[in-house]
Amino acid sequence: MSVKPDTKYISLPDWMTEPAIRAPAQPSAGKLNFLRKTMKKISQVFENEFFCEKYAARPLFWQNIDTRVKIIISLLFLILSSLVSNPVTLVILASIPLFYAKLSGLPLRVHFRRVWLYIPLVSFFLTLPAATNLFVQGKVMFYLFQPGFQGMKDGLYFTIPGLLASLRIMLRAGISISFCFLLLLTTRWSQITGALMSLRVPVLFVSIMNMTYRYIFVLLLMANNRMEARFLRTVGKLKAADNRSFVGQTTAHLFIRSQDYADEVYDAMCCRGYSREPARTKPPHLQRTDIIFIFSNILIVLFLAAGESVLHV
Amino acid sequence: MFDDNKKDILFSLSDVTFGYADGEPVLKHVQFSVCRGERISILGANGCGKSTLLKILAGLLFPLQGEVLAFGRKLDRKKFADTYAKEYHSKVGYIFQDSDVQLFCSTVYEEIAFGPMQLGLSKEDVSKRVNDICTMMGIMHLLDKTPYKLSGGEKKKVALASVLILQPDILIMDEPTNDLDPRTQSWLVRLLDTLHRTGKTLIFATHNLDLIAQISDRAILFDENHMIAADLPVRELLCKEDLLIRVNLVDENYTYAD
Repeated sequence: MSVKPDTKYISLPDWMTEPAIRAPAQPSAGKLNFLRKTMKKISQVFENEFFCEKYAARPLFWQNIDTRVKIIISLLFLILSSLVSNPVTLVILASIPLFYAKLSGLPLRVHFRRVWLYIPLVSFFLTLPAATNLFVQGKVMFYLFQPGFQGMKDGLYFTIPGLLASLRIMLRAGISISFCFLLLLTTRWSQITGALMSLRVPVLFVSIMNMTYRYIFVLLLMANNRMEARFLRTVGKLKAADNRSFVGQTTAHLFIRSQDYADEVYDAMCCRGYSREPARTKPPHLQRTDIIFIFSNILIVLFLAAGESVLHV
Repeated sequence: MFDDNKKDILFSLSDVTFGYADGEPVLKHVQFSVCRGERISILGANGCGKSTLLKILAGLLFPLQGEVLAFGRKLDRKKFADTYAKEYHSKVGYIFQDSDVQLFCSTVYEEIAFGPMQLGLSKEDVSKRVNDICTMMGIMHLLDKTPYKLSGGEKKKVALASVLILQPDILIMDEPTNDLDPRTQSWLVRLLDTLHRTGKTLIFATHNLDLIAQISDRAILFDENHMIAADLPVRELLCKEDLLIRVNLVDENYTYAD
């Protein structure tokens, strides 16, 4: 190292004053880039839609209903969806939250894509192996391997009951997510937790939900920043193993940080007089529109339950 | 390839506007240039868009309107991520405000070696560079430690080392003195002075008015309306008390002592 006599300056290693070694222009690591972009999108959804209460602030249909009513009606539909088995009934059930979303000013195409194009589709594909004649016997839908192929006497095929079972799982997953999304996007978080407390959901459960909601964005932001920091120092070729190890380390780091946060948040709450019993506010009375909404939805539920016994597949 | 020799202008921003989805613009009609070897401080009240501007210069964000030219080439989101990002990031070093999020490896050695390991240097060369830079920073004793467990000042030094080892032409720092005790702050000023002597271009975003005259020659002041309120030599700007009060950066008790 060259030591400069002037103590005002710090002596730099020789190579730092020489021309820098530069990586040539080359394509980026696709998979991690994909992960970085996906995480950025997720945090944007949280930031711009949940936290800004973008849709919850609009005085439209679902927003004007009492939150307790919305929770109970959503639960009612979810219970019904798990009890009925007819795909037609399930499709009608799936269209109800979409209809409410439209009336509540949610962009239908985005809502449909978010709800139906990820988890329900993945659920459907994951259950496909169970829809074959190896697990569920029944009429042939279509053959994967004809009888006699590789010594398989009956061949390998999807059965109609098997595919219907996969379809039911997909529809039930979609209906659940659809109602959750509808509730979260059109209701202020404080109203949801308030309604849960007035519905006698245990305080501890509501408190944990509250803290998760507050800090999930902080943790997401932290994960995002780490991704960006790595992107900024990715100046050449990285091994796939390095990328995997980075994802593992980030997960571990976030886990440790969330524990630290939990401790600090709890201490901060105690310092401000928290005694494990959050203050309750008196819930407001139900309005006439809420009562009408309850009865109309109960009618829909009864109609679908009755239709279930009439329809046969 | 980016053309380094195209005049001496490294960054040129014209009419840059940036905002997040459905939100108010964070930057409005920003226009300025940065020449090689300049030392610039970006000033402004909280939320005026300083950090966003630095992220645009670092190639993390792209303007909604307007144009950013870096090394004579337009920064375009699609082409940038696919082809130029690696080359660009080896020329532009960025130090985050929170060093904790910048350190992602399991040991300090791995953290500092992360950049040069990708440049095709031999293990011995990488090791020599890591040792040299750690000696310079006074963090040799930290090499085997986990970055997560370091103090704020140590994290900042490791973050700086991990960027400086790539020999960037431009160093961008968001709140460089955050988490630093006075002694480390004074060390940082000396380091930045030394880097400036070697021809590095330095850009900072800071609230620390006592520091900016020591680390920069030019200051760009943002107004609360997210537009540039002034672009002046630092000492000249610091004397404009009325302007600093108007943009809500200081209160009526502020006086500049040169």
